[in-house]
Amino acid sequence: MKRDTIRFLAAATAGCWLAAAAASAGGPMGTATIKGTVQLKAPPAAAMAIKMDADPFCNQVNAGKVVSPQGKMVFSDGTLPYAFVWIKSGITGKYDPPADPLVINQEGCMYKPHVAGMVCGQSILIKNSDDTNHNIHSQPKKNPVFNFSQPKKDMTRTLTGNDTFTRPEVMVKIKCDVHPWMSAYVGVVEHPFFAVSAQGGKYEIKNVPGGKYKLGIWHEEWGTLPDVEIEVADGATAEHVFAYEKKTAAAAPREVGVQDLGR
Amino acid sequence: MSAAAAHAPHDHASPHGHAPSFWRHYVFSVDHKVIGVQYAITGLIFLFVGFCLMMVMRWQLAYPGQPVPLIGKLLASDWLGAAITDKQTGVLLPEGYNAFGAMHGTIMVFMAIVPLVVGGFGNFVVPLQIGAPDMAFPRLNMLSYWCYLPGGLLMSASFFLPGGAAQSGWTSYAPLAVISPGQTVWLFSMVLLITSSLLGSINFIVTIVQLRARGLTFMRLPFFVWAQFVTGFLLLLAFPPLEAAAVMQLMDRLAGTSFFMPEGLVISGKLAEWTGGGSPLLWQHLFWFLAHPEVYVLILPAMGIVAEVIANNTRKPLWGYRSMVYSAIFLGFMSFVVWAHHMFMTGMGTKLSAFFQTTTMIISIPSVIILTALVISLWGGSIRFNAPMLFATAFLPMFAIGGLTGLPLALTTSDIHLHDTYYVIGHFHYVVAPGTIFGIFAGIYYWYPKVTGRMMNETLGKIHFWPTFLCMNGIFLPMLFQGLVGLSRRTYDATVYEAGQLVQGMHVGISWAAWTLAVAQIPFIINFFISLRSGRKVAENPWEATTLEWAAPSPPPHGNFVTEPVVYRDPYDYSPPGRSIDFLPQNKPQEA
Amino acid sequence: MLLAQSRFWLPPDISTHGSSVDQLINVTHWFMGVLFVGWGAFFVYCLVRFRARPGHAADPRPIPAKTSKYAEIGVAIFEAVLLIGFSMPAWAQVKYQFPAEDKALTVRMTAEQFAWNFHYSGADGVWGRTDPKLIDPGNPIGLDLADPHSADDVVTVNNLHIPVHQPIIVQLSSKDVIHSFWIPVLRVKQDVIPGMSIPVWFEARETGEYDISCAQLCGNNHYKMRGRVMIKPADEFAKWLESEKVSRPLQPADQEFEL
Repeated sequence: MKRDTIRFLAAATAGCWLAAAAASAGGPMGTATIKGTVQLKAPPAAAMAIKMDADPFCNQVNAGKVVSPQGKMVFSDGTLPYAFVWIKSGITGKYDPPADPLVINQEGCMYKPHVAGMVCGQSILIKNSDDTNHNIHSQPKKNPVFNFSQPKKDMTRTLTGNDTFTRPEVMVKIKCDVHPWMSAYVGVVEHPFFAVSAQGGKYEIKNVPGGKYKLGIWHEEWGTLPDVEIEVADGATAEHVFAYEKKTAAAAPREVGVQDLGR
Repeated sequence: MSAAAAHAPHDHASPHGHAPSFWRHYVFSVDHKVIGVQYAITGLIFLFVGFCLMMVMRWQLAYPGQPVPLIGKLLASDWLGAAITDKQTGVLLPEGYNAFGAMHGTIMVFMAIVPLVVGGFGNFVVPLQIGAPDMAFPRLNMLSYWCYLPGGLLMSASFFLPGGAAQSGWTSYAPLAVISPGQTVWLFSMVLLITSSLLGSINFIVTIVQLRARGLTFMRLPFFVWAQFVTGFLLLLAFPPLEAAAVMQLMDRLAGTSFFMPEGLVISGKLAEWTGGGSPLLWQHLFWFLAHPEVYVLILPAMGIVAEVIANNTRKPLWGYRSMVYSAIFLGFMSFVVWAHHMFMTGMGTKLSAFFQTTTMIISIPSVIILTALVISLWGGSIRFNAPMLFATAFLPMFAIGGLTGLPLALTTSDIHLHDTYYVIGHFHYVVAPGTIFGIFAGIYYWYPKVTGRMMNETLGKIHFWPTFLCMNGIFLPMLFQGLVGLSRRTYDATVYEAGQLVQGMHVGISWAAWTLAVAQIPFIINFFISLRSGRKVAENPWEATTLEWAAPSPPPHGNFVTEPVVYRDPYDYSPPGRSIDFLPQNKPQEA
Repeated sequence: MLLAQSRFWLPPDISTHGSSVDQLINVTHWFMGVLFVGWGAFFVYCLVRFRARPGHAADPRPIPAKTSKYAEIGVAIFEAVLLIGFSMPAWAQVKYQFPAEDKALTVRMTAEQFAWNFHYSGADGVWGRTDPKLIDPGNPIGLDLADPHSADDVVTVNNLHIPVHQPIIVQLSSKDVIHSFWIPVLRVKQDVIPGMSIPVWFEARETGEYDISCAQLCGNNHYKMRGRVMIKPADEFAKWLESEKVSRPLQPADQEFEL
């Protein structure tokens, strides 16, 4: 009797321990893929090219190029770049942030990448590849604000721990107080299942565990679309084409308000 | 009970006659002398801090983009609310430059100079010079110090709070200040600092009116007391609009009001729909309504100190005492109607600018009268060139340059070119730095024996004076030329502009003069401390002066005078005609 | 490009009105110099002659005040002359005697942190409608491209192109904070205040390229808010205006895409 109790207790303890270890370890990565394209079924917004005369360096580095405002870019086949697609709900399990930081590079007086995703708690490495003064100013609602300059080329700063974005927020705008045309958007998600639409409006979310999910999309100019129910089995590929027909109210990033003021 | 016995020094602190505790005696004292020393020491510390901020900025100005030596990486630390320098390289960042610039101005004006000349010298000397046992409201006096110190500490703490220190200039123009970090703490600190000045000013005015010794009529007051009297009115009447404006700006930042924010602002590419109906110009008017009289608060007490030291060291009465007094009063009155000369470029019409140009030209006249009277006071004297006198005489041409360079700024047409350039920085620094600060040094050397009972070392005083005088000119004279060539103020890197490239060389010279000026203060600091222990001990009147403070023991006990002084004569009865003595103290009866 | 510029004194003046500014600055400084030298000489004389030395007591007799009184009155009169004879009339002319609108080229300037945006109305003389809601990275003034009047408009950033020998009126406004529009060689300086539209006028006498500086602290890049004024012969200016119209369509985004 006593021996059985001891065995039972030992097994229970071991079981709890294993379960705890499993829960705190990185959540499961899968083998499925969710992909598709983002299309624009409306006339593109009228736009003017960005003039960088405010900074002679920026002007010189982009000489001869036509730089379009990224939010207004449309490919010639009517597809949209820079749409952020992510699994909004249905993911269980906790996902640790990857060890590599999200790199935001200031190059040619634009933020590269313009739209990106990161996992909650992932560190952010910000670097200035330009020989001019850049400022990086984030405008989150739920995450810490940062606002600092990098006046010289090759200056870098890494934000980790409490300084980086730890709470889910789609999207956080980052802008440069010095160069008003520069902006970047970061989607902070609890898991790594997100993608940004690239050439041809194509997006692809890889290594998804099989299951039933809701997919969300965000675009800085065209806004959001209703959540999409999507189901994918392990090893399979699910496809969805997003189509924007008009701007939706959620397009504009949050207004600059009293809460934005420095303390 | 005779009047004499009634004022015998005794301990007011406790009704039982026990000696007051350490805290009551040295920290929460109501004795004007202790409070004066508290103000002076705190003010000197802030003077040093404000100077250090500028010395870091001078590195960036002389060598743009170069890492700041020694402390560069330290100022990027995480224990600061916002990085001043870049962590990797130690280069001063533009936001750090602007924060240091805004704080240099704020600290120097509100936390160093005014507390020193009014709170320090005013508090210590005025009751003594009028023969009073203390200020009219000793507890109010203590309260005003204890509003100043927390205000100063909060302002200093802003460097360490999230967002960092204010970075919109000491002038805090809206809308920039409303949308910039660090400003909230600045505004709260200003409310405390302004309250301190308001409480103090009431005290000075009432004390001078009510507590003068018998026989001390208004026209027998030392000029220093007149200067403090007019200054009291300036503080009392000019500060309230700024206190109100500071609260309004706080509300614009925290409560969503729009006192200073017009409609349709586009901040960082987005329409700010929370603003509307306000005017940025309203802030400017409210601010300058104080800040112009404030500059006379900065200079008048220093003129007072210089007058005392000159009268004493020429061994003859001041020339034109009456003119000086009437000029000081007129100056005080006029200072309230010139403020918009800081705003000539805001789109001012011909009538309004004509008014303010005229009042500004008129206000130059009493300044010239006071200055000229002080110079003419040298004529016929027997001038002793001790340390206080060196600083007091050097004040005169320095203030003259400061005043004269105000002329092209006062005329709107020439102001078109000179407004907001380095010419303005040169102009006002000539008045405050080799102007007021020289007055402060003169006052410290002069009244140190009264406060401590010991003299400061004369040789160290001279070693302090000469490099200080040369470096002050080395710093601020080139700035006048930088402004004429066309260099804007508050410019982190002058080489961005063609005009700046032409005068970048001057920036290097100015910076080295500034760092040399810092080194030149070392003899003063050493002197200040070692004289406490080993300065020559003196009795009441080491300078053979006539004014009443020299009738009290050095240092004066609580209650100041052993017997209540009675005044029989004018304040500067040196070398009285027809007598063979050198001087007659104010409280010496006729028959002596 | 850069006329011979002094390292110590005023920049070259290529404006039609600048001589009144320069004259006032120069005359005032001569006046200041005379006062300082005269007064300073007296000062130094006193320090030397009346220094304390054995056998030299102070002389308590008051000195006659006549010279100083006359000097003071003289100073006051001269200041009045500077004020009423020079500064006030010059200010009225410089700031308020605007050229006739049909003779002048009018440009709108909208300042922001940290750039000067210039908006020309083009051949039709009418500015296209602007709306803050339309502001985006390529469209700093929010020009409504659907408005037909916008078709011939020109929007430049930081580069003010103007014809020489023609009066120019610039209507100044700001999107965000107070800036100050300053062209040193044209002796033009005017604070640019959000919520207000303030006009300035000037006329250039020489061609060339010169700095525009910001003369009011406007944030952390205030020091780099440098524009350029490009003064050209009238025919070159007309050609430039025609070639810069906004109505060129934007290219599709295929080649330049980068994530």
